[in-house]
Amino acid sequence: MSLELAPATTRRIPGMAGLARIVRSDVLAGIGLVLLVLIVLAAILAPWISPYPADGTVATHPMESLLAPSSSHWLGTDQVGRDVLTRLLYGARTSLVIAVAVLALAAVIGVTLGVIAGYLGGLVGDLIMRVTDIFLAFPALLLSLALAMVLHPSVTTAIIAIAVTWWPWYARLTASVASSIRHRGYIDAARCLDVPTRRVIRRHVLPNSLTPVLVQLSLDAGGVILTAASLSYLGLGAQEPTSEWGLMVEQGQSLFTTDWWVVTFPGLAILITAFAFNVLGEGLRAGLDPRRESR
Amino acid sequence: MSSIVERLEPVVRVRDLVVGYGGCQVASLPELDLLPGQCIALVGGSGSGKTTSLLAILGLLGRSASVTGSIRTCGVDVLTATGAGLRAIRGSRIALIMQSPQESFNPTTRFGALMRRTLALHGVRGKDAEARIARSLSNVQLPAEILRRYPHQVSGGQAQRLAIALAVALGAEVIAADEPTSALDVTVQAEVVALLQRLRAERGLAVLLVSHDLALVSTVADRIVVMQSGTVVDAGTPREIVTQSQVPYTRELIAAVPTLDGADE
Amino acid sequence: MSKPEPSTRQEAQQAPLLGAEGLRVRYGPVTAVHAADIVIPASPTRIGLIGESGSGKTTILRALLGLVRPASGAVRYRGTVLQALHGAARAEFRNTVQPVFQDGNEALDPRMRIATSIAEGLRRPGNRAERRDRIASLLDDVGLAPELAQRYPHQLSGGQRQRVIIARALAAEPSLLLLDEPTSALDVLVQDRILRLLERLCAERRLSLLLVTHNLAVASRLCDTAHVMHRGRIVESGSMRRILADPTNDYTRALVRAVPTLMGRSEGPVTR
Repeated sequence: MSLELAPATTRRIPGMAGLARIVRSDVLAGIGLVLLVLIVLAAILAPWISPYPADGTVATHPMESLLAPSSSHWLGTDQVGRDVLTRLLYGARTSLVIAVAVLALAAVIGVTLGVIAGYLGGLVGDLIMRVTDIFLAFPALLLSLALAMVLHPSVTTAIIAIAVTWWPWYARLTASVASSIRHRGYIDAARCLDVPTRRVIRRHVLPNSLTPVLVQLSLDAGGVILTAASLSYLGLGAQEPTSEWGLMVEQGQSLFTTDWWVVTFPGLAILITAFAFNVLGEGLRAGLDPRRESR
Repeated sequence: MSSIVERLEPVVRVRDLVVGYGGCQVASLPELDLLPGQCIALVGGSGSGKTTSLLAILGLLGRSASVTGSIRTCGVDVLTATGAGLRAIRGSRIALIMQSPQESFNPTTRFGALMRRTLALHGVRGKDAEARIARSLSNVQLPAEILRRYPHQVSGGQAQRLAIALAVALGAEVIAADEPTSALDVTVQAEVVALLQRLRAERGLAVLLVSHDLALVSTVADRIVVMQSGTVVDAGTPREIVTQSQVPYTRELIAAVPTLDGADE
Repeated sequence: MSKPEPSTRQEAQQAPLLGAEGLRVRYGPVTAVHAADIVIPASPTRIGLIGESGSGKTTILRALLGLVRPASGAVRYRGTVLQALHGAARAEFRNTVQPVFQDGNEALDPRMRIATSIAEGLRRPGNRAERRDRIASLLDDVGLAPELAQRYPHQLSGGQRQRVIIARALAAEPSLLLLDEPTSALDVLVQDRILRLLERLCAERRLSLLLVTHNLAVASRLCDTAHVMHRGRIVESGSMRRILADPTNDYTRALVRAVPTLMGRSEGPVTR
């Protein structure tokens, strides 16, 4: 009974098509999307577009160490003579893999637990949320560090250590959405058809709980990359000779005043990637929120 | 009586109003004169253009709407007025009441704070504001303690009466109401309508009412304008519309009114 | 706990289809329903449950559907308490008694196509073609074009969505529909059409219905019997005709008076 709109206008647009449309209308989010596409392409094509592909992995050239940016090495070389640009491109792979793996793991664990806790409520729900609270009570980085120290430092360790601290946020987010869905008409209708709880959760609660999670995922990606960089910086994540931006920053920081390019470019890479993810996520959040509520 | 009324300046004067969205005509209102103390109702089903017309009169249509014609509301030419010009009349001269009262209010603000803040926005503060608030509450027959409540703590009917109280406190001469009773129970609808009637009689308030409920408006309007698919198809006094109209859409609206049946189905 | 099996078919058929005895429902500290008794007989019947918001009428509807558990009293389906129904008996209950919720409360999953929502109500398994045919036939029954099957709820108007909600209820082939304010969110023209649809469906399929509404006029159009509720109690019951002509309770009288009438028509019941 609100505004009579011309029939073609739709109030809410579920699904990917809607998201794409929103992003296109928000300039900043569009920039973020373009940047991300470029970063992902760069990561995928790293072996083919890097000037010195071997430098991305095991090669070292001690004779060419710490060369300033030039026409043969656009971004210079690091302490062991590896091309910084190449390391940057290979580092994109590592960072993106870490981001995707962490978020996938955290989302799967968090959303599953959150949906169950939110929809079922009661004792089970309380139990899950208290466990979530316990994890949230730890300062994330400390927990990650503790885990990483126990396990052998590596990219896999970094992934596990970060995912462990990240899932509670998704659990909480999903639980709050799921508990509001519990009382919707279509859930009642399903219950009146004796649809088993498992199926109600899978077919109704889960799909309708995902939108805020998706938005949060894009916002978190930048944060995960930063955290992974921190772990590497502290020596607990990716190890030599893997290219990883945080590791590069850690190794290059002492050289900042003399050979600035070694730390600056990976630092910029982290910044730009985190920025792109954030801006995309904000665009999604802003675009979806006003359209979300029908009441 | 009618000759006196004719000499009064209309508070809302519309001529040749046409509203379009993206090339599609959505509403067309050729003529409307709302005199002080009068009640005109725009009636029709969804998509009839009645709400769009109301919003156009208040200058509340977004930039994506193309609006042509002449609209003069409380002395302001709505189509050419600046933001400041429109703000000067909105609230303090013409107040808008919407269908879902609890949703028009900020859920985190108590009613008292809301009223004081709104009055302050229109330059009324301190003792003057308190006096106006107290008077308006007694006008709508709500207890003073409702000022301490939050929107979700009151019933729909109470929230709607509070919206009317706010309009009264601001000194509005015109109330524009968009389906003010559609979200309320029938028992409460009658109360809200009775309140509007009383305010008209006591304070000379003019009312521009939008509704899909012909029965409801027939008890309160001086004049009914029937709209269908964006155009005016019928107009007249309630008696003319209900007893004499031959327009098919009007007759449909009349037939659709649920009346108390002796259950002879 | 459950009553002894009715010894003859006659007895079973005379037992009320669905009933509430001494129903008391609490939400935390608040008692929403005080000791309500409602009987829905096995033969086709149309009962109205009328009251304002907060009167408890929707709570009774939810209790009759087994969606809320009573604090005391019982809801029985063909004599058996709902909680005691299992297996085939429970499935029969679900097939026989179906709700029609209000569109305003998101009664349709916004992420499911109309066809999928309706299919959820289909109780007999069948292959894809059979399902498609049954969905098309249900859409036709409620007056919707078959192309709408692949649309999403937000692409339909309020009236169309309410029809889909009815179609989903009909998919289970019920004998009794419990309707919660099916037309309150709709404008008067659409409301009229939905009410006519319900009248037709009830006649064609010999359906019983329990209509919960705040609008006495709407109830009077569809229902033969009525219960009036106020603050959690049933304050008056009887035939619709009697209640309209001669209400004994003050609140009922207020309800009758509150129905807006058109100018030029008298108040009170109108015989057509």
